[in-house]
Amino acid sequence: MDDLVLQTITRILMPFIQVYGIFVIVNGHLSPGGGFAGGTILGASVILYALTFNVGAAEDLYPDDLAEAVESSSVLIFVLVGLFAILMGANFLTNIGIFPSPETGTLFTGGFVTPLTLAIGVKVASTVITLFTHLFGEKKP
Amino acid sequence: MLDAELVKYLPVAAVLLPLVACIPLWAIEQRSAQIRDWFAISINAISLGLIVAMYPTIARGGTIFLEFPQLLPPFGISFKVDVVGFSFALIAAFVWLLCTIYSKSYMEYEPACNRYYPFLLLCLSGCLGVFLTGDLFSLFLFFELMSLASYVLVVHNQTKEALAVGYRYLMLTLVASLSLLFAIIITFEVTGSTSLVSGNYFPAASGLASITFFAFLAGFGMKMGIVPFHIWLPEAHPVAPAGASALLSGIMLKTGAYGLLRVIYQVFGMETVSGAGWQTMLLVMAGITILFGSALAIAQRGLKKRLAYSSIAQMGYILMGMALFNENGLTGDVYHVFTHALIKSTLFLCAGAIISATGKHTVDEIKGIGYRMPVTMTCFTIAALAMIGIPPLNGFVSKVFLSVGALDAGQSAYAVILVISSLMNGIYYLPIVISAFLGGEGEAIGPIKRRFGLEMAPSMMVPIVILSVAIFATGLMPEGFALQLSKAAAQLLLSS
Amino acid sequence: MNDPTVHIPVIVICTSLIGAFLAPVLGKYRPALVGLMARLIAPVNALLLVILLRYVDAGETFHYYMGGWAPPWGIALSVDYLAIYVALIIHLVSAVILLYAKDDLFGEVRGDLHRWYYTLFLLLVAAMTALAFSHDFFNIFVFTEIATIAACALIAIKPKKECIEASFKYLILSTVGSGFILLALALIYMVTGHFNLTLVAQNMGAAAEAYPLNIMVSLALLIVGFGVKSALFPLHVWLPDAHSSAPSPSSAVLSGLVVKIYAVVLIRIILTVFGGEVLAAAPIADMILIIASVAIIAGSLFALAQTDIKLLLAFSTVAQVGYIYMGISLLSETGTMGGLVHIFNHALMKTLLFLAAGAIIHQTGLRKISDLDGIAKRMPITMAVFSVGALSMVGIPGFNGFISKMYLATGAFDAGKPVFILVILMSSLLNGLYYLPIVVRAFLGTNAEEGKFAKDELPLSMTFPLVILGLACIYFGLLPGSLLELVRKAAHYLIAV
Repeated sequence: MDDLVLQTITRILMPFIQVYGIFVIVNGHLSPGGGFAGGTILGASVILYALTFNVGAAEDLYPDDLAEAVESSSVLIFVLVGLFAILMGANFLTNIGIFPSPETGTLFTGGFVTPLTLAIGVKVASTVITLFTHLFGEKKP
Repeated sequence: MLDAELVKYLPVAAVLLPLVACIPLWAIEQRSAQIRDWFAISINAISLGLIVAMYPTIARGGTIFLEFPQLLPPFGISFKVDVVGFSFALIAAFVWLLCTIYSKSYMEYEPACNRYYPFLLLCLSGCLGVFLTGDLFSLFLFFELMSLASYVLVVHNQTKEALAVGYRYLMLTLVASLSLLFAIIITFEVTGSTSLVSGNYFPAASGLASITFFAFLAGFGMKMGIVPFHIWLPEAHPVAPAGASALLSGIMLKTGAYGLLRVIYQVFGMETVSGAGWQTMLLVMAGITILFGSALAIAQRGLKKRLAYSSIAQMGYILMGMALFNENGLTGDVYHVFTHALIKSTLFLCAGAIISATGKHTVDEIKGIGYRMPVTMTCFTIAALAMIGIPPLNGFVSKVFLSVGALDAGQSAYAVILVISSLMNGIYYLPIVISAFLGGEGEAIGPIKRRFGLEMAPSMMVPIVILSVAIFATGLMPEGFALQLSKAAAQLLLSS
Repeated sequence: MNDPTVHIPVIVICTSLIGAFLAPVLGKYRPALVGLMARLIAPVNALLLVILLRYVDAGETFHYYMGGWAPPWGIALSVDYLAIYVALIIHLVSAVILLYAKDDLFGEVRGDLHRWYYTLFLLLVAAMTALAFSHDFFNIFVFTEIATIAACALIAIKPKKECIEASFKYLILSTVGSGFILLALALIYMVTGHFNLTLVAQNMGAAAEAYPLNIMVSLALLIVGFGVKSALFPLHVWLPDAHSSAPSPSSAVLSGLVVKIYAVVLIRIILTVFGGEVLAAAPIADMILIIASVAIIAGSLFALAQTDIKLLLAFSTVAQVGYIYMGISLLSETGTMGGLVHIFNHALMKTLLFLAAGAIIHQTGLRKISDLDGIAKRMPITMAVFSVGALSMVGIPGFNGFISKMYLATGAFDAGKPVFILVILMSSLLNGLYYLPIVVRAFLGTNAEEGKFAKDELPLSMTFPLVILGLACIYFGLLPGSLLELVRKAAHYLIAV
């Protein structure tokens, strides 16, 4: 698709969508949303980009190799954060306050939840994009 | 006199030695066929020696007992030797040794001997295991080992016919072992143990008891070749190499008889068996088996096939003996185990010698063979006469005891059957003998293969001659060693 | 709580997961290391589980709460003998399979996909382990899904038409099964208000009284759902194609482990969650018993008709799953032990047989049984091991299959249902009918082209796992004491509750 209006608007919108996605992810423990919802929004921004330009452009923006690494490492981060709790002497995935004396209702009350939702968000965003590009391009795995 | 502690381990050693020896045997046979043969023979000899070493204990009327409960829970493995098991094991190991010696030369021109000897040893281990174990479950275990190992012996020639026969043998063996397993599990659940101790009887007749009894009968009867279960026998025995046929017919059939003896006398007890009418049934089966086996043997032209059918008839004798439930009958029964083992293995070994020397398989083709192979045919004649029951050969002794037993039990009909059967034995054995010696000078046979200038290799001749001498010896000494053992065995079984 | 051994279940699951997700990245830069890592993870985990076993020995069933949150809020893992037993089997057997996979994969899977193969394999292992430990309905569902997807992909990874087709069939049917399970969970949650197994079990009595229909329907849905996944007889249609077309290591893990895990989960749910009252209200156990008997006989009969060696093994799995269901639904101690011990024994035997069949295919490309005449001349060790597996399958004493058969038979008697002894014996006979001819053919069959069968053994990395499995079959056939001790405790957990 080669439409100047769409392309320009997409260029303008993309940062906003992405910032919103990140907002939803990071505020996962305070407001509705979280890693999954935020990740989908993040991914949607790239899908929008692919739809308005073309799939190849989206792949250049977010190559497969990077996707592999990002997806693997985000799961690893999740698991390792969970295991870290064991090192701290608690059960797996126990939420331990890692930030000093947070004030209730602020971002920093999340403790371990913040890195976990981040990992989820990145993983979901990446997966959504990969799924889209693969289905769209009918690529051989 | 051996230390009592040491004696305890004799049965285990006798059983496990051939089993374990398969591994060095396998290693040896990669190098040299000569050493392999001698190694197998010496293992056999040692096993025989270990069994003979138990004799003093057994002769004192003692039993040897040893158990390994940690193996294969919940049953465990145990070894128990009393005079019954000892008698069977003794004759088995003795004949086995002779057959292995015989095989040394017989198998020289056969393929795949490297498979033959290990399985011969495995089979020996299984066979001795059946006779020397102290509970039904261990018995079953070794029974299975023997059955499977003997399959390989049956199909040794790998011909299409052998494989087809072998397949039937294998499947029927499987059926037999499954029905045994079924019976043993029920026995275990009902009586709480599988050990062959007197007095621990199956509770009197019920539906479950009869199912169990028939499962035992089918399992052991299949091995024994009792008539409705005999179908595999006349085909499987002839296709095996002669040494193995002799063992299949002479010894391995007896494992079924042994199992049935134990089951009748020590698992169910005489009252239950006769009370439920099974005794009559067994007797009728025995009668049918005797007549059927003899009648079909007459119809056979193949030499080994005729011998195989004759085995069926003889197993009928043994079944009859154990179903008579009196001392004379039972003595005759155990004595006939000795007798038949010696006679039938002689016959099969002679047949093997004839076949390997002439290549002739049927009765008609060997007219006048007596001129070419005098030693073989003399031994064959002795064995044949013994089978018919001519005094003073040992077959006569067992027939006397069986007949007296039948009369004691008030079953005179069965004494008549014995007489008729002797007659029939005459009809199918004597023509062979007559035509061998009086049917010309063997023109039809052509030149025979001679080895070392003899009609057969010495290592084949020696076992045959020893067996024939044993037939004479046991017959000439009516109060001899074999009869004493048989009497003791009969008394033990009856007192239990 | 300060004892570090309590974390072992989680660590075991996590190490497999970490391995699974390290594999693609690592495989890109250091392909040689991926296999090594996978081969290290499974035995180490098995070792950890053995340590855990000692810990559990000391006390009662132990529940591990994720994140320290006790139910009904948190997710629980149940650390009991059954779970450890099953997890131990999973890791031991997959360790052997992964050893074997090293060389076999080169023949069956494209080189650049090897790292993904390890990812999927470890993911499957992690999911199965988690299924064994899960004490929460929703977790069970989630891990069921993970295991299903991973298993499908393990079949489809081989670039052949029939693999894609088989895995698609598997995927569709499994997803239907998953749908059933989800529906059942919804129904249970609706009337009991909980997902935690213990809490559901506590509320089950009241719920069954108030909403008998809900409970019955959910039970039926669960049986069908897990029945599809574990290939319980009339629902087995996907199994033969899937298991026979997959790469050999996949076939081994699918037949040896995956189907049984679902069976264990189902049985665990039925016996510990639904419990006696529901079972008394409807003859569920008897129904499963009959279905299992039909499975045993029918699976064997189908296997009898096969000419392809891997298809034969796959149909035999259908029958063997029947053994497991039958044993446990006999509801007697020995019967349950028989079913449970058969999980282990069958895992050994079937893995062995599939790997041996795979070895034959790898080396010769022959799949048809009639082509295997005299193959033992060419691959003596492989066929010797195959014979061990076959004899074990038939239930010859001295091999491990006999132990399970014996316990099943005594269990049937203890349960007062001696008829089922006949089913077991009948099936042994059928096993003999289709396994022994292969062995006979391989060793005694004559082959016209003798020269074709020069000795041509496998590489050591493939022979070694086969020999280990063969020896294990014999060892556990002769000295099953310690195994049976563990199984007895696991059985008590199942039928005492």
